[in-house]
Amino acid sequence: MTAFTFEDQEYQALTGETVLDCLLREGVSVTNSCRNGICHSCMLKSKSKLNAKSQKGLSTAKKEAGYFLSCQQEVDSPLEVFRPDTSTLLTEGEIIAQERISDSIVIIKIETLKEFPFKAGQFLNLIREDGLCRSYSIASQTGSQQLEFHIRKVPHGEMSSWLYDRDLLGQKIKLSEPLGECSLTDNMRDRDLLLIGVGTGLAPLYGVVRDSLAMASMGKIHLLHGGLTIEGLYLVEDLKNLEKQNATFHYYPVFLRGQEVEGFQKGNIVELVRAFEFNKANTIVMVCGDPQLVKSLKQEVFLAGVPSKHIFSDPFISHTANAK
Amino acid sequence: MSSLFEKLGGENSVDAAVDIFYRKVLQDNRINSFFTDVDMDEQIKKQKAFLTFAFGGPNQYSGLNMKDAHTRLVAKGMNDTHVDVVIELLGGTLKELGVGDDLIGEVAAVAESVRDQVLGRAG
Ligand SMILES: Cc1cc2nc3c(=O)[nH]c(=O)nc-3n(C[C@H](O)[C@H](O)[C@H](O)COP(=O)(O)OP(=O)(O)OC[C@H]3O[C@@H](n4cnc5c(N)ncnc54)[C@H](O)[C@@H]3O)c2cc1C
Ligand code: HEM
Ligand code: FES
Repeated sequence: MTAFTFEDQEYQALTGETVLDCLLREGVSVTNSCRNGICHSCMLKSKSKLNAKSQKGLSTAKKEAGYFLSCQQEVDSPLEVFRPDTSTLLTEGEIIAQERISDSIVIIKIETLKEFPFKAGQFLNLIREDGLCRSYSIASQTGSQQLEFHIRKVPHGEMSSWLYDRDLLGQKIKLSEPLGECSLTDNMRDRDLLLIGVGTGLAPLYGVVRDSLAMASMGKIHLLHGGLTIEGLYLVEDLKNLEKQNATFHYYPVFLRGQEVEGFQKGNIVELVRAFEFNKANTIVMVCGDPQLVKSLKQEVFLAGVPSKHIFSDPFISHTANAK
Repeated sequence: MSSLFEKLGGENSVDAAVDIFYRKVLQDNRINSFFTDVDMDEQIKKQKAFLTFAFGGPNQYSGLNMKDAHTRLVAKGMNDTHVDVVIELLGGTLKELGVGDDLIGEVAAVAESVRDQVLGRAG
């Protein structure tokens, strides 16, 4: 057991326990979601010496100010921990549109009260008034005033069911700073793009596609969207229209189960990617969605010859799904 | 006299080798089962640590934590034959990059020097 303090109160951590786990066990409420070091929602502050893992991915300014991810910091020495001032970390927003586009997917639009800089492809955490927090990818283009999200209702999912089932127009909600790997950067200019989204993994890529078409200097853009069934594929008409209007953009909707349908490919997306012909040396690959599929798809494109530094991904990791 | 690491081309040689080596590892049925449960980005980082060590570069690996890094794998059945395969694939990687046999021999010797620690037979 090691003792540490949180807001000047002392707690006893069990061997190997993280700051987050210990505080939750003691009944202290701390915002958290992925418990994997990805979402940054569990950020706390400390002046004590921290391990490198708990500051991985934080900006230099945050590191220097003593921010750390409480789900990644084991209590192996006495720490003094504080709650950060959330007013500097979170932005207030309001739900201004909620459109159920299928029996499991809802498109939500949020407007922020003050300016909210982000890049297409990034994700952020939505924090409900009661503190429930989950990560969602932004589907809007860089520079948009409204933030669009594609949310799949998972069975018994707390946040996703709330977002799908309840009528939420006018609902206030908090947003964290945007994060993530899957955005365009200047050094990607002139390269081809292979974007692979599974389920609502389309969301970040939907913004990236439109950003890259606006950039003009990108090469070919291939978008593969995979669903378990054809019903899981959405925005099909929009994307087909975008394909008609842009010679450089190619869209491939793919589903696994059900009858063949014209205009769609039926099959396993991993096998499809294995057989996919593209310029391996000059293509940037982005993969988003279900964590298991993201892992397989990344490995597939890597083995096909894409350099590891050209492969980016944001797996939709869920703490509860991982714990199973 | 320049070090093995410098002769191989330093940091750049690690970057050049890591993708080739990791592809070989993932495709080799004799050892890939040890590597597939870990996320690719994490693996790439660890492969870099491995290569930096084997190339005689600056490293943070004492024999002791070389042992710790592999305890989980020894428990899963990792043994001498797997170390042989890793050294073989390392040699194959360097050959593809045009490195001469003498330097390949030196790299293999560095890897060989921690065989007992990696397999948990020495501290
Ligand atoms: C970087 C990142 C970006 C993300 N972007 C999006 C996005 O754009 N759109 C989107 O819809 N989701 C996205 N997610 C997933 C999202 O954060 C939540 O995990 C998801 O909405 C479930 O939350 P919940 O509160 O509804 O379910 P919870 O209450 O957390 O879970 C309830 C039950 O559902 C199970 N479960 C959780 N997730 C899944 C799943 N994916 N499939 C099957 N069962 C599951 C759990 O095991 C549990 O039994 C993203 C996640 C990450 C880490
Ligand atoms: C030949 C000598 C070897 C050396 C010098 C060596 C070196 C290393 C180093 C430096 C790391 C990184 C540790 C870290 O940063 O966490 C590592 C990790 C790893 N090694 Fe080795 N290694 C050797 C042999 C092997 C063999 C034979 C296997 C299996 C066939 C293997 C499998 C792994 C795996 C899977 C990891 C990641 C461990 C984890 O994620 O838990 N290594 N190795
Ligand atoms: S980073 Fe700690 S809960 Fe997500």
